[in-house]
Amino acid sequence: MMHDLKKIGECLYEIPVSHRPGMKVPGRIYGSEEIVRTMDDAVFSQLANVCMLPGVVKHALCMPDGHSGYGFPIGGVAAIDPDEGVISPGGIGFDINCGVRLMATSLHVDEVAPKIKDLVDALFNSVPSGVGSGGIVSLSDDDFDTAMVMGARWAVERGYGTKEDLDCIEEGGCIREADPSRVSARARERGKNQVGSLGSGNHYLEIQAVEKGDIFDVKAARDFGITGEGQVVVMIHSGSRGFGHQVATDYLQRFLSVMKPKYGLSMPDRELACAPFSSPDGQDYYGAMNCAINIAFLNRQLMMHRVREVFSEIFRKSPSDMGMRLVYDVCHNTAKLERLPVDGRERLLLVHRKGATRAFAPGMKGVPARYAESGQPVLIGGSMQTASYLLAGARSGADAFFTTAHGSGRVMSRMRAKKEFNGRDLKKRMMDDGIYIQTASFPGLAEEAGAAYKDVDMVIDATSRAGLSRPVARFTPMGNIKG
Amino acid sequence: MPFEIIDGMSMADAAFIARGKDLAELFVSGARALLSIMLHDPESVMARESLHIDLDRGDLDILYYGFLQEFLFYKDARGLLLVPVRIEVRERDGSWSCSCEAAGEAIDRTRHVFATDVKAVTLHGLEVRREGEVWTARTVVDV
Repeated sequence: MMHDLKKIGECLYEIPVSHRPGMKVPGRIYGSEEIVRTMDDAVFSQLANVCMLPGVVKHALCMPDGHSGYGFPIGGVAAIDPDEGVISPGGIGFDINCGVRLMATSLHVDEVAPKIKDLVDALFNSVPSGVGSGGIVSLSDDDFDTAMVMGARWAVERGYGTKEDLDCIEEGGCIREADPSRVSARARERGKNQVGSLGSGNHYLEIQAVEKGDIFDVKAARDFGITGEGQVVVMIHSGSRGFGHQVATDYLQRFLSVMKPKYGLSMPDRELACAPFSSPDGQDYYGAMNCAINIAFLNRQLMMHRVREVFSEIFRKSPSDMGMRLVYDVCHNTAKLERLPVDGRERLLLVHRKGATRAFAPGMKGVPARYAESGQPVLIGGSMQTASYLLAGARSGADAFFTTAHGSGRVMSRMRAKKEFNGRDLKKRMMDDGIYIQTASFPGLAEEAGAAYKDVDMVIDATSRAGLSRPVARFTPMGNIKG
Repeated sequence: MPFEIIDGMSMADAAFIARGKDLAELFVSGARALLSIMLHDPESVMARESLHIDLDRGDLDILYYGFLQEFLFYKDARGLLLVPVRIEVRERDGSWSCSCEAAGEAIDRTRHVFATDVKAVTLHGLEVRREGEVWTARTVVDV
């Protein structure tokens, strides 16, 4: 741990403004001592850089699952004054609106376990995954433009899901101020054939179950549709695919070329290239980024629809007869305009979250009406060998701009993981442990071994003790498709 | 060795150092490194079709960065795996450009086994420089 880091709370550490010239606010890291010790040094340096962004308000943050990235650390959060500050693609990430969705079912583990191989094999054949897979839908140029504006609504209006699904997606599955005219021809070309596909890397589709003793907040769990032990759920982790990557790449290059000559801005890391939010450059990126947010919502909606179809074929029941209801869909790579309290005053903020999840408290605007009492559901995926969590936003999260963790966080590089684990051996071990897996890439599987990640239970414990969100239920993997 | 995959630069992604006796060789090494990170057997890519890449980017490191991005674009947008065949890297009045003929083929998932997908080239720690008689470039890619 760096020597300037001061412990200021049970699970809170601070890098003071005096740590490095140019810091406008302190940096804060959430985590237990054990977690913070495992963070690589680059996390602290990258967080200090984030503290230099023009217009950053109060403090820049790193969540308990944080690890080094480029520009922002993964798990990095910065709230920016939209009138005086900047927008930075490096604070959002290349995979714009990478996120997680959770669908509940009324199926019991005893019904699903005997069919898990059939289910996973059928899902693997039905949900495009891996490189060069194509997507569930093929869009014309006009359709793609419409989809950029409509997001998941585009899917629901064409029969891929229900109106009730939209109520349970952040922003209703359709963020406003998406402007397709700000999206390059290259991004369109790169994205339009991948809509409705899982992708690769750490993206997955997982069938999970609630084990005994793994419901921690019965009232909130019931509100969210988690009704008892043995219940089966489905989790999807994916993003905006090549489309979001190209939008980020296009604007990173553009900001790099204009930030100094046009706006007199400079940052210590080129991955923090930025432009004033209110400038034409800033607004162009905001319009294009919102298109990518919508394409990611659409992507996850299409895949969930395909999951419903596969379950229907295998169990010969309709999705509604199997209680296949979307619990929630969260984003963890975005910048959004939000009205949030800062030192007792409500302010409009452009909240950059890169590998961090919004966690609105009970009663806040933006939380679906059906969840108003419990707060916004939060989904934190573990590695494919470990558990995942459903949590809820908490009022104590105000200081963190109502943000929490997004995963368990890597502690081992992909290269080292590939040296230490063999994908085929890992698959066999997972099957011995009761997790049936299909993958588009065995080396890719090795990179995602559970031991390459922090202990998710430890991350959740720190998240809870820091007041960022409240654990509601824990899910254990039964079957997994890895892209 | 024309390129070397390196550890320790990025926890969640991949990094490599490419080398060449001149800039043309360096650029070729960089594109081959990308393919080696992605494919189990990069030699499985046959030269069945070719296309031309022309770039004009000002700074040398940004030209190299843009050049590598081209290969990711063609992979996703056209489903093509490409390697540079001939390349010329030029400097004129302080501005760098390149002209490249690349050859390859459409992704065939029965023959092209992907170890991982490279989704973006990043600017994190990007450095193109000359060390004695050798040009080197360090790059982190998003996977």
